[in-house]
Amino acid sequence: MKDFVRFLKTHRPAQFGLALIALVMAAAVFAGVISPFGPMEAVPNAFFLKPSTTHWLGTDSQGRDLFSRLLHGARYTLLVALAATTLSLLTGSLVGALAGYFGRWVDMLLMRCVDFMMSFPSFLLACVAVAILGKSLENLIWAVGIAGAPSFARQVRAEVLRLRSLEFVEAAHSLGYSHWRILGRHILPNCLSPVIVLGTLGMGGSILSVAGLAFLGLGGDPFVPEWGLMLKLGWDQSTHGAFQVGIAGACILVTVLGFNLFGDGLRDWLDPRSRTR
Amino acid sequence: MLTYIVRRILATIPMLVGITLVSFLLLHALPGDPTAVLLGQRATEQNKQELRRQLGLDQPLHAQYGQYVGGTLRGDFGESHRTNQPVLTELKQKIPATIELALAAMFLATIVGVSLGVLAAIKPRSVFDFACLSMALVGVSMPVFWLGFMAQKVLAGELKWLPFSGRLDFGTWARFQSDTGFYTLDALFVYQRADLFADVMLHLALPAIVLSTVPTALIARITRATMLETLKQDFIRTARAKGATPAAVVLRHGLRNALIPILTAVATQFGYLLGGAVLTETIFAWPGLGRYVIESIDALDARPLQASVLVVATAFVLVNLLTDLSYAFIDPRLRKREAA
Repeated sequence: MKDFVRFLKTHRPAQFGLALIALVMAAAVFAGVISPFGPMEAVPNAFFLKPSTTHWLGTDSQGRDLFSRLLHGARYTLLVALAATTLSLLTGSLVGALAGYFGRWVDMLLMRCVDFMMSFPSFLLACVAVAILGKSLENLIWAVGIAGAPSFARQVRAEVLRLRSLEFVEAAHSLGYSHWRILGRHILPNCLSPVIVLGTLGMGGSILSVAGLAFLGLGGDPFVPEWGLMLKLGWDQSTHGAFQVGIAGACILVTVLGFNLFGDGLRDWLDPRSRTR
Repeated sequence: MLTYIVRRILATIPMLVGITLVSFLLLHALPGDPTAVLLGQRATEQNKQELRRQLGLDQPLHAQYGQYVGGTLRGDFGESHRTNQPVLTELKQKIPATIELALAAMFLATIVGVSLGVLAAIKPRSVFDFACLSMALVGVSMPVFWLGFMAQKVLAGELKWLPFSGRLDFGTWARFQSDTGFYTLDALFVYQRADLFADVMLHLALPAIVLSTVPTALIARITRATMLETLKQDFIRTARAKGATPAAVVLRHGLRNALIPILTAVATQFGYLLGGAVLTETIFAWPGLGRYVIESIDALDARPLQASVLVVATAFVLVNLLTDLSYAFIDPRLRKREAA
């Protein structure tokens, strides 16, 4: 940890990324305290107001305060993306670990499935998954989560393959430990760093995928203040909604940029070879 | 090299079988009874039974799958219940639209991405390098549909430099007969009119630029990274020492050796564009495959969805196959290894 703080002090982009993430997280956590209005609270006869002292960023087509909705939107956007990324991370790591550790037919079978999933463009895969599951934010999590799992599976498998032949694993074998214990206690903890990097970068990807799917109208209830849905709502209103599209998109950009910068920084820290690049 | 090629081609066969299986199962996986979707709410049970028999849905799954594959091989993808058109007829218009857009975007992305990457790698840590890296990072972090909307608002709405959306101006489009579905080719060779071709290109420009942002950013990053690596090699120093011009060192000795990762990036991105242009096509009302998928999902129209998934996944697999095969031609080492 100390090492990481020291690294962070020298790595400007990672600092910047972390700052952006912290900003968005603060908005999400304190949305209830900061926002002057409720996210669903409609002010009568106040549609499409320009930014003013009461409504900092104006109002939308229903007379709801945009600033408040954006703050609450940070909650939805981050939670949905976090849930989707966690789902990819867990299923992908499990598949990759089993394939890498047991090898032979297990590896054959699992990795062919992974290759097969990778033969579909992941965004299309997510679209089709939502079509099957039904349109809602919860189903977006499943769709994006499953579509993102293969890259984790590949990474973890490669890592497990490398570790499996190392001496400490051999030592654990000769001590008579069970496969699950070796995998869970000795191998997986050592795979953690590349998975964390991939997860951080995956957060950015998940946010973009979720926003994209929501924009296509696959996100269910259009009034939930998720940023992708807000963007769609603005887009549907064409000229009047342009401002809403602009700021909702900017929020997405800033958040994804934060995760990408921080993820790149983490990778540089964990893999010193990439620092020169 | 021959064994490599044969083995690689054989490996795609199970993939293709799997793709037909998945697209076949889609019909049953979509929510709702397909006959109810077709007949509407007032259909009697008898009507539904009748239709099930007509469509062959009362047969066991494996028999249905056999019929599906047979139909697919003959080019019979069924009918869309939304438009009552054979899916094949619709695909013949949608696929060229997507390919035209994807090729234009890829052309831009490759030229801009590789040039930026090479220039940044020549002078690492310079202002130009920093600007390139920052732009690439913003490029991959940006929601494409948002960029599309903003570009549309500014370049088409405010400045009126480029047309707003669609593939042609509405007046021209109503009279435009396209046999191939490739409007650029039709304007040039069937109509042989330069003004029509210009109109098609102008309509193509904005969607292609927007669609190319992410691939450009990724290609620039990969080109820069591999070029940096390559330019450190001994043979580059040798080339410099023997007095090769800087341009020759960078292009002939450097870029050529850095080509494989760059080519992989280009090909993968192209594969994604074929199926991943959904968002851009939506923004610019581009009547392509991606838009078709979303419209089919909205209407729970199973046949077009099945067919588009089949087409996109097959194209993706074939693009990857061609990429792998082209390594053998680009990289002499791969050839040697097989021969030895």
